Amino acid sequence: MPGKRVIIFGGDPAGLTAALEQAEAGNEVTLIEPSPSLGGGRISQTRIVAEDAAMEDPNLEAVRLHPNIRVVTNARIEKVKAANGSFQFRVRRRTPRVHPEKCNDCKACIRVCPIHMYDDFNEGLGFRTAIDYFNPKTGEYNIFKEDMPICQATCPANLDIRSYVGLIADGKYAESLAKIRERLPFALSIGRVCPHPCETACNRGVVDQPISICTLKRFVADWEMNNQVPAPVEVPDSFHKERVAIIGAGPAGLTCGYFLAKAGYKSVCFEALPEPGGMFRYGIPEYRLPTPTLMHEINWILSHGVELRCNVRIGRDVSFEDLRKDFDAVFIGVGAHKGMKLQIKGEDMEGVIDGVDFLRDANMGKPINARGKVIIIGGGNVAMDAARVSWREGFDEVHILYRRTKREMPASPWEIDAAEHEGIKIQYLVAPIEVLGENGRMTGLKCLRMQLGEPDASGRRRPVPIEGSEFVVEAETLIPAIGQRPDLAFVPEGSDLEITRWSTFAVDQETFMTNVPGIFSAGDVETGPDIAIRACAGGRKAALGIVRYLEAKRGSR
Amino acid sequence: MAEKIRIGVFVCDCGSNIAGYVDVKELAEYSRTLPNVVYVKENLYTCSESGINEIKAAIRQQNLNRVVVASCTPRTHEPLFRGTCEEAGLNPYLFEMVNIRDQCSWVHMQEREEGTNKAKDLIRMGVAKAALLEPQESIKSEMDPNALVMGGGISGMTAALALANRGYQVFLVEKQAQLGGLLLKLDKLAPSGADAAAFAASQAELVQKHPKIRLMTSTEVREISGYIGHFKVTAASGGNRDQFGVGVIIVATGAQVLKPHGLFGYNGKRVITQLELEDLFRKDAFSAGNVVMIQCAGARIEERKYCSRICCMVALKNAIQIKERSPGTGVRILYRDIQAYGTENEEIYRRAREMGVIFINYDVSNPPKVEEEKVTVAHQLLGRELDLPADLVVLSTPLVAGEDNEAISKLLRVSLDENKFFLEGHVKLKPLDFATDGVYLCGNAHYPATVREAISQALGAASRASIPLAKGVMTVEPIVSTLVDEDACRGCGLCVALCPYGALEIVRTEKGRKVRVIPVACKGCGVCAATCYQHALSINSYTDEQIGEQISACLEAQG
Amino acid sequence: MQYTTDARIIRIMCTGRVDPTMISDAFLKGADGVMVVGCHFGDCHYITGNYQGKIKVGIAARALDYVGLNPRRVFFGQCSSAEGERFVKLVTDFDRGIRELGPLGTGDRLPLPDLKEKIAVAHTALAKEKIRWVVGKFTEFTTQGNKYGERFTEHEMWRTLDTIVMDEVATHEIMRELRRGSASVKTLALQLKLPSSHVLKYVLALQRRGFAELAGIDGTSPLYRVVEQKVA
Repeated sequence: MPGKRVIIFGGDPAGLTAALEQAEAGNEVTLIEPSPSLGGGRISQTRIVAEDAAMEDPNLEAVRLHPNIRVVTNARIEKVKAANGSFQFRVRRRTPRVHPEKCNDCKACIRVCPIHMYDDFNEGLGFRTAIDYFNPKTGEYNIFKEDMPICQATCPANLDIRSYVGLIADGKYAESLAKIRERLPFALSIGRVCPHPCETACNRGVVDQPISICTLKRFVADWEMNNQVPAPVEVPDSFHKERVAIIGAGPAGLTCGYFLAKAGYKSVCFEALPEPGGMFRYGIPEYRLPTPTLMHEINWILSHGVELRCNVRIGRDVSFEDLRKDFDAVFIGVGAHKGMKLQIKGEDMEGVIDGVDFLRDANMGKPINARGKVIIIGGGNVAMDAARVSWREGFDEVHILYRRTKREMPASPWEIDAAEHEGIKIQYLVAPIEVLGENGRMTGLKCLRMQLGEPDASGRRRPVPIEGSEFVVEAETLIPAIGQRPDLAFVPEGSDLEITRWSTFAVDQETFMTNVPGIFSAGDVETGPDIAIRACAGGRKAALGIVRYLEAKRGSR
Repeated sequence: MAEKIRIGVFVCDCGSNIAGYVDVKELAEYSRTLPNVVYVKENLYTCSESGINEIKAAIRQQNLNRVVVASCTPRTHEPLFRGTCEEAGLNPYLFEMVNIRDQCSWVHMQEREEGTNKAKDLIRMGVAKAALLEPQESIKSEMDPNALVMGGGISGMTAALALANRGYQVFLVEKQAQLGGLLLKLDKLAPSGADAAAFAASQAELVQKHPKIRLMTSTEVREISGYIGHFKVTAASGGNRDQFGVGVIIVATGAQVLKPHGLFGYNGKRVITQLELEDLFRKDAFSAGNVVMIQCAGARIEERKYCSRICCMVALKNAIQIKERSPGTGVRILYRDIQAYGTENEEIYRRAREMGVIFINYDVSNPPKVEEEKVTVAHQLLGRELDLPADLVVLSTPLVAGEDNEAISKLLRVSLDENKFFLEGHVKLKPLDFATDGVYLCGNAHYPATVREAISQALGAASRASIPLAKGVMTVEPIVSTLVDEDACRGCGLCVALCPYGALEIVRTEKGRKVRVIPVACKGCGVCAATCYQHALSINSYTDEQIGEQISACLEAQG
Repeated sequence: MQYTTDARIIRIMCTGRVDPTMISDAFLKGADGVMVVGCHFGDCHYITGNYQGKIKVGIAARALDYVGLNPRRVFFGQCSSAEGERFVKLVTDFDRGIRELGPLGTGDRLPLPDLKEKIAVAHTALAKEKIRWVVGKFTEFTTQGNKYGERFTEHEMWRTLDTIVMDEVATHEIMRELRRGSASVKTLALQLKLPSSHVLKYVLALQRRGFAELAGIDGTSPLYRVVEQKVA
């Protein structure tokens, strides 16, 4: 009977013994060891003793010589698939970066290596260098290359934060900005509005405070704008003849157009609203991102060769099919502009206006009937923005009702603090159950008090109503801000486009192409409501996907 | 057993130049007390005939094996005194110079005592270093008696012909299929009015027929290694690669014309460049009722600060051409400043005015606007906008650095200026040489030049290049890097990457990978010695020990 | 054009010749200030030598600063051979700065002779492979980048070098003590006024790099000694 194939993880003495036993039983053994050498913890401990006295497990030699054992060091299991009693493993092996035959164990590399890290082969007791050996007996040198820094890994756009912050420290502002713009054209805007997950992750926060990554980005971008330094426009001498249609001039669409232009493709950006910017322009209040600043940046992006056509709604002014015919590829970045309904009685009464619509009206300068008391429902940043804008519009009282507690609030803590500081009253553990009114006009809101129960799918504790706790709040205006969804009305009926149950497009996460070749999508319409930099990151990746698509198409012709 | 050190110190009065401010007698007395000093002499002028003879006599009679002169600057006098030592039979590198003029008498005129004390310190330091000096032999290297000329424009052809006519083999490499470069795109040449294409053709013919020139068109230089006397060149044409060795290299790769996309509504049809205008002349296709020329189109602006220098003359030349072809055509030149230096150019300018060409000054902050059928310009003196009729607008665009310049600069390890033009070794002292020995430049590769200037520069560069070729042997000062401790060298290549001259290389030896110094290419800057973590490299006459000894001698009193 | 009589000039071909150890050497021998003057950037007779000079002087200044020398005592200046006035100004300003500080040991973080003992350690560190290797790679890492194509800013390089200086100074102090006789981590920590956890890390690193070895055991404490380096 032919032997079975056995995989063993870990080359410590137990793993070695198991491997030998399995091999002796006639099985084909693969031994996977994450560190560079077999032997487990004991090997590294032997360093504390003199090298000559380093103990070696006799099994080590036996394993090395056994014909049925294949040893894979420097390797980790990435994925396991099990089916019908057999397993499939995907193993990732670190690149060996030192040639074992050329290495003569002179230790010169260790002596000069400038990179110090905690010796994770020795329980972090001492330091090791980036190039190091593991086993004093066998040598086996290798370089252990870490992945990107935590801030860069956390950033949805993977901005090279390490470099651009360092360049600012060097006083090389233009170079720093160029570094940012390798991956993000919206330094001015993102530098103002980003909730900067990178700073939350920043290792410096463990020591004292995180590096002010976001503000530093704003600083270099402001430096350029305020000093009238001409922002470089670097595009190829000639453009390819293919053209791309971009639906939606928001963070995703404009970023996509920018990177398309850099790759030598002209694009036409269709915007349904009168001005470009998407959520930057119509979702984020003026006090957080002034329109002139935003327009300064957008005009610079457009100057790369992105044509803008505002007041053109796809599906109304131009049909989606025409776009597909007239352009070689289509990018959809229409965002998520449709507010979610509270699903309570009386919601269609006059005086109830959705948070996204409210912010858009305020940003467009439409007159707002800011009288009496306004209630905002929700605990996200849109709710905070709506509340703070309401306060600025002149409502007499602004209340936020949230059905959980401050701990569960998804809004950025500094936004909550700022709202409270400005005089906005936040009531926790309250949920609306009915809009009250007379003659179709709202006069108040019936609410219910809540308490926290078991955690739900989102990991937050589920609010549970307290029976008999109903009460009425009198108010003239109600702004629900409990989430948005994309408005996909422009997609023709019977289209092949795959749409998820959250009304978003399903795309390939590498190319950002939808299931229909030539149609790409990114931003909130692909991710659901999310932060701006994720939309920018998607726009960039989609642009690269479009370039690959067009090149492949040209090549196949 | 090492020979006993016998140092002679010569203190120079320099008339009253030194003696007037420093107590030279005391210096001489002091020098006698210094270790290893066996002879001291004060001279009125050490560099005079008698002073020189005194040094020679002392070397012979006193058996001096080190000489220290305390006088003026080594920049001017070191070669003289080294020569003196050599004539007296002493290795010239056993000589050390102490500068008590520039560093004492000149800068401490009011402080005789302190200045004298400082001079004593300097002499003590010089003597200390001299004791450690070692004899050096000049480095000689044979020259490959041939040259590479990169670029087959007028500069390259001229330089190649000049060198070939002197009898040296020349490899002329041109990227394009045809010789002539920018000349091929021109119509007439100012001020002679000669036909550019015909001139290019006649030069090309000479080049093609010359037995000493090996012409390689449609060819690019891919790799260059080595140093003066022995450059190894790899050129590629299509898929074929060719390798040859040369002694010197002339860079004559020219420049390119800026295509003014996005400037003044440039479209190549109604708004064209001067070159495209000359193309119309050559095809005899020029016809226009009113022409407006705009100078400095894309030059002397924020992103391209320099003046391309030749465009004014080109505009004048072409304006006259238009007037000669069709006197009724109105020609207006909108300029910021007109460059028409020298008698001939000024004469052309005057002639253009006489022929009715109108010159209108414009301000860069309010540039002309090109519209349908007209150009609007704010007149500086009238203080109002003028509408100029125009059915043809000609932009005078600058020459910009060749697109290959960065690649070539890396191949040759030579510098570029901020505009990516090639940078000469020194503005005044080496205008046609690069800082790297054996590499020369001429023509537009350096900076926009007229045809005449390009030719003069090419002749100059060829002349400079023929100096080492004529000598046949390179003699280099032996103040160069040496691998003093071969065992210590680990062959890591740290120094190789930092050497500005490519004078270091890693070679395989019996002892493994080791660095090797190419003395002819080395200039002795010392970066390698200051970098080596094994302290395996040193610089002749500037060793760590010698400099350390100077530091010690300097601070002896402090201890 | 007149300047202080207290300056003594040592001629070198290029600021690129300045070895960081020459600067520490001068302070060990009693200098109160060291000035390195060369060509302007972009106008270097030796093309890029002055950039290297600036890095070499920079590392010397940083290492000496770390061990207690006032960094104002080290200066890298630039002036062309045609700028006599500028040279005079550079020397005069530097001289004034040194006069304000006073002689070596005053105006510094440590008095003599402790300062010199520390400078001697910095001198050793500047002569050794680790600092010199990174300094040698400075230009490559900030312009072309490392093997992974990662380019570092000057700020990062200096920060890296600062940590290396800290490590190297501690390491060479430990080595100096061990050369005087084998010692335990505890006694080393007492002598050098360093936390024993740091000393342990450095000693383990020294052992691994082959510079130190176990000499014996004193009660429960391992004793370490220096391994004399064989010539390669």
